[in-house]
Amino acid sequence: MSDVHPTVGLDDTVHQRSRLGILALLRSGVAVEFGAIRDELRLTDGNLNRHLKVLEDARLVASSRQTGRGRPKTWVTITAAGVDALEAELSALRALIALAE
Amino acid sequence: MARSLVSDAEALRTRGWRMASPVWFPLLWTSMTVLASVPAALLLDGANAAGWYWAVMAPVSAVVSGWFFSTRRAQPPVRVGLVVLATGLAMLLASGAIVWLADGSWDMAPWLVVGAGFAVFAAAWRSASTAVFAAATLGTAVTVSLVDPDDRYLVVALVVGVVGALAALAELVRADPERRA
Repeated sequence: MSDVHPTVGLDDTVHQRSRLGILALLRSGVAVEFGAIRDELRLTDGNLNRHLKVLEDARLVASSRQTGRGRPKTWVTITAAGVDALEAELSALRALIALAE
Repeated sequence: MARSLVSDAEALRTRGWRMASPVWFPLLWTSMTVLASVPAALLLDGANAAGWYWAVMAPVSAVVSGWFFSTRRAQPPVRVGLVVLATGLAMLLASGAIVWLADGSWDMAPWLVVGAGFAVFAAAWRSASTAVFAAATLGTAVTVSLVDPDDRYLVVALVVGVVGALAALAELVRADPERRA
């Protein structure tokens, strides 16, 4: 009876659908432009900003602003903690699915 | 709900990997231009035909690759400017090294430049297949300089062209979701 229920492994910060999607999209480790994330996840600028703020506060992603010619661009990367959090969340979700089956 | 979340996350992870695998383009472009240089030199059949071919294709390749990367919405984790600077320095050092290696002969220098440039790319994009291509290019250029076979250009062009095409194929397969299951 020492087995912990998979729901214990779910992290509220990561579990939200859009935030899980952001981390999954960034998982390869490269920096992805703000607009590309917004388009892939079909979010508005405001929505994406809010989700990124939550992830940045939890130190799961980092963003940098690039200024120069043309419009300034914001590049977002996943942190090592973000990779761990994503993998832990997916493991917990898979365990939950297995338990339900 | 959980199944849907996992499915969405997997799909987005795959999409992210596809965005993160752009090195296939310069690899494919390089291998095709290198392989095409052999028949092009034979067809032109003039003095320094290969030289004229590369005088045209080198700037065209730079412009085409620059355009391709500038349109990508995913960038290497380090600053792009740093990658460009590192690539330039590696190319300069590599082309200078050939003078010491082959006693003043510069005909292998372009291959060292290509190899050094792709070595920086491989590090920036964390691409093993690009690293293999860079190592094969550098290794072949050095070996040919030391062994000095009859058809120096043909040997290097074939090795670089074929390895480049295989590396481009490997880069495209890198985006295959099965690989990261």
